[in-house]
Amino acid sequence: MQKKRFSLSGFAPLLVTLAFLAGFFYSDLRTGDVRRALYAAQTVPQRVNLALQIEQDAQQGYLWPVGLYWDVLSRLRSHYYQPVNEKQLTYAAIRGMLASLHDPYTRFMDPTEYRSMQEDTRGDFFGIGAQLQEKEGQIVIYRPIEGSPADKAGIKAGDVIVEVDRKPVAGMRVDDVVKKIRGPRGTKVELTIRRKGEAKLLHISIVRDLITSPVVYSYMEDEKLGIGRVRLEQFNEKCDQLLVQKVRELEGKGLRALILDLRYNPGGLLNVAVDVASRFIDNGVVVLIQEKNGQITKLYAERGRAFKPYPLVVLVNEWSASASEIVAGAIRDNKRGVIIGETTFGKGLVQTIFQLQDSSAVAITTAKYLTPSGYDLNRKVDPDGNEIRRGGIQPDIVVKQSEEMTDIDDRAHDVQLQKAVEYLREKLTAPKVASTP
Amino acid sequence: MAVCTSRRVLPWFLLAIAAFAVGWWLRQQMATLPIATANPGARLTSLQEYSPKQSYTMVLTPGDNASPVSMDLMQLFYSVFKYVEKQHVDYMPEMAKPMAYGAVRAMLQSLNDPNTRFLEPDEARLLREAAQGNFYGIGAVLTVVRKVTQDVERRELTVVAPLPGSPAERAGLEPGDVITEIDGKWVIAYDPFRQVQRSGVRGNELVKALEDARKRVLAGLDLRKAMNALTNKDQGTMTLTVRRGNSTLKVKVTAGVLSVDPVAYKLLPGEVGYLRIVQFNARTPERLKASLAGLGNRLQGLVIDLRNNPGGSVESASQVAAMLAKSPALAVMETRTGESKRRQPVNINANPRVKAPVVVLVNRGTANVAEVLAVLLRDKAGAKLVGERTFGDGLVQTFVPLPDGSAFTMTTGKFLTWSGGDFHGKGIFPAVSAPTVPKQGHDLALEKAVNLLTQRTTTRAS
Repeated sequence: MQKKRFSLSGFAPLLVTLAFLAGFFYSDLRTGDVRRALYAAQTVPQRVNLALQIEQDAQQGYLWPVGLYWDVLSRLRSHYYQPVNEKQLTYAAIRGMLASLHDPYTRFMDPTEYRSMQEDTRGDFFGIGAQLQEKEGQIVIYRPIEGSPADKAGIKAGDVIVEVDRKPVAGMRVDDVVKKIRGPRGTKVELTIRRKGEAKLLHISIVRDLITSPVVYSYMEDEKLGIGRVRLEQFNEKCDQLLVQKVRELEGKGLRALILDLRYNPGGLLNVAVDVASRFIDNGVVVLIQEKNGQITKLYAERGRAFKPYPLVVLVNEWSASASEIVAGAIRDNKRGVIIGETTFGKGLVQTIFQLQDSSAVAITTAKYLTPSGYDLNRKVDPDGNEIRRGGIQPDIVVKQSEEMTDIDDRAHDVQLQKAVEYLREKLTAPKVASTP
Repeated sequence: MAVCTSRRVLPWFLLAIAAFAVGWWLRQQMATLPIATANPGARLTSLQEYSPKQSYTMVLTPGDNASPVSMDLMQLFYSVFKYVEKQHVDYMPEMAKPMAYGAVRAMLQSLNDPNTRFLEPDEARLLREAAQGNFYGIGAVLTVVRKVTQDVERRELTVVAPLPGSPAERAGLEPGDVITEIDGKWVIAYDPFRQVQRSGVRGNELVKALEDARKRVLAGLDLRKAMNALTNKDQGTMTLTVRRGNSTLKVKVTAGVLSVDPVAYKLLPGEVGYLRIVQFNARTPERLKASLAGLGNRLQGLVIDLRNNPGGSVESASQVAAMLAKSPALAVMETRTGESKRRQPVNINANPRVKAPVVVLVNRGTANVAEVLAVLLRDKAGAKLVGERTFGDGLVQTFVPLPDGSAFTMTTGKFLTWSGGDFHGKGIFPAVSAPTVPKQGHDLALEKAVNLLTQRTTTRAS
């Protein structure tokens, strides 16, 4: 008797637990769907948490987007004349919600889009080596990478892509055009190009290949005075190391003044931008990162890495974006050099990608870059596409590029470069004003 | 001993059953999110609202209120919103509302159905006002007609009917007119890029065509903006470019406020009554009752004018039908349940008060429940239809108010005639055709109708 009571009170809680689990998995036991059962079990804490969170939110007032979304979707589900695809409706709602922020960088990626984005950033793709940009609804070559198939085939910055493999691309998004251009290594893609100054459309056939970018180029613009130029194509891991190497080469040729050419540089990694800025600024702030709560983080130049304080010109244009603008802004605000060219693109936003439950993802602008003086780099556009705020870095000396310039190495027509060289010549040859008696 | 054991086991046994039930319940809860309790303001009490174009009263059982949305999708949407709220650098609490509107608008737009659209509070208010007979702007009932030509989808802003005494009527707008421009601005009716792509032009022509398309879109008005311009009382004088058949004309209209009496009547010579039903709103049945009483019971014939009647609430139309025809139902309504379609009659309490022969006038502006009523009068009250083919709009559009004063309209079904005939996109053909636009003060259709009635009276008298 004694023994039996003991064993019962030991087993009973276990039995109750088993009964609970049996109840929980009852519907799965009937259908035999093991994966569904496991998923349900795994997400219990998450779901309970979510329900509590929503309850809490609801107590603070009407749950704005979520409540309205739920209202409308549930009504469509029960009363719309045709059967509805709730998943597609939800994706559409999410996209619409994000679009209302008027921030083109905050966007939703469905599972397919997210997967292809991951493939892109991994970098194992074959293409023609040209960066594309959507400009006023047209697909424009932002810049062909030097030595790439596109470059060799004669594609130039500013070329408008009208067709890919004889199929019109108007109205398509850049990502979709890029997808059409990419393909297996060694295969051909034909682009129909409209080029400024050419009456006829050009049909250019290009063989796809692995794209590698040399990133940093150096030139000696004036050997007598020692005016050198380094051009940065983008800010990737190799950039800083290559920059040092190229500047050392120029120093070997008697460098006395330097032009940092950031034209057509779309940006890249933030830490690389800080490294590059540290080569020109020995002591000072490179960039301010403003977070959501208004909290500002200062990033300082790393001490002891700077080149000699050569007279410095930074060349920029409207395609200099993000990290390029950070470097140009840092040099300007630290009064380290003169900015020449055209107002830059105006993108100083940091995106963070959050993966979502169904392997879709959302990229959200989580922070802003400000120049050391607190200047917000961002260009702002209202819902109708009108510019509210230009943003970008305004050059100290504005020089519009010549219409005749054909490509980035057409130095004979590069009036921006000519202006930079002229400025440094004056600086180097001007009689030194004695500062002390 | 046995009693003793069962006494000890029983509580545990009951507890085990309870645990099973709790587990089962928890699992069921996971399939759907119990947000309805968290969101009391969002509960829908009735859909007894109205849109000026067309609507009907949905009678919902309490459980049928709204079926729960899959929890996974809810969670997905909620997570995205939470990420933005917590992480987006520019997020401010006042952005929640535009985000909600943006989400719902895009969701409804993705259904690609011009009758299913989101209405911001001021737009929703206009619709409610229209249900009371108060119209703002040009005073015409408008709709979007969808057409596909050469693989390009067109959505044309079309006049269903100008209301009596409205600026639109004075300006000479007619049912079926397509408004293509407002003050010279193109009302964007199709995607011009798509049209260019499908047109097959190549080379420089293509480039030029695309540039033109871009300019057109930038200078144009989308349907929403165009609708808003035409329903704004402060819009002033507008010049509309209108396509009527194959010709294009320019019309000047001055926007204003218009209050419409839903029913008008007069007694014509020869004891022929004339009854005009302008729209089916909440006041229509009571005004009809009064009008019938006003006409007296010695009528030799009755002309019921449904021209330019764009429809209205099915509730109102049912009560009207009950006074005019002996039939158990006004129409058949086709709705969806799950994956299949369900047909249900719209029942009425027939108590006809008209004994005299009836002629019904219809035209291109007779739409929706007005079309249904015309067929009912033809088949169940022996009425002759005189005029033109009707609009052919059978879609049941429901107005759903949302808690903050915004709303949306959605297509919830299709009206079929009382006998199950589908007239959507086809219209109803009258037995006697007559031009219905009065020429030099002569209303030929009405004259024809009166002739038919008096002839009949004479034959009967002889």
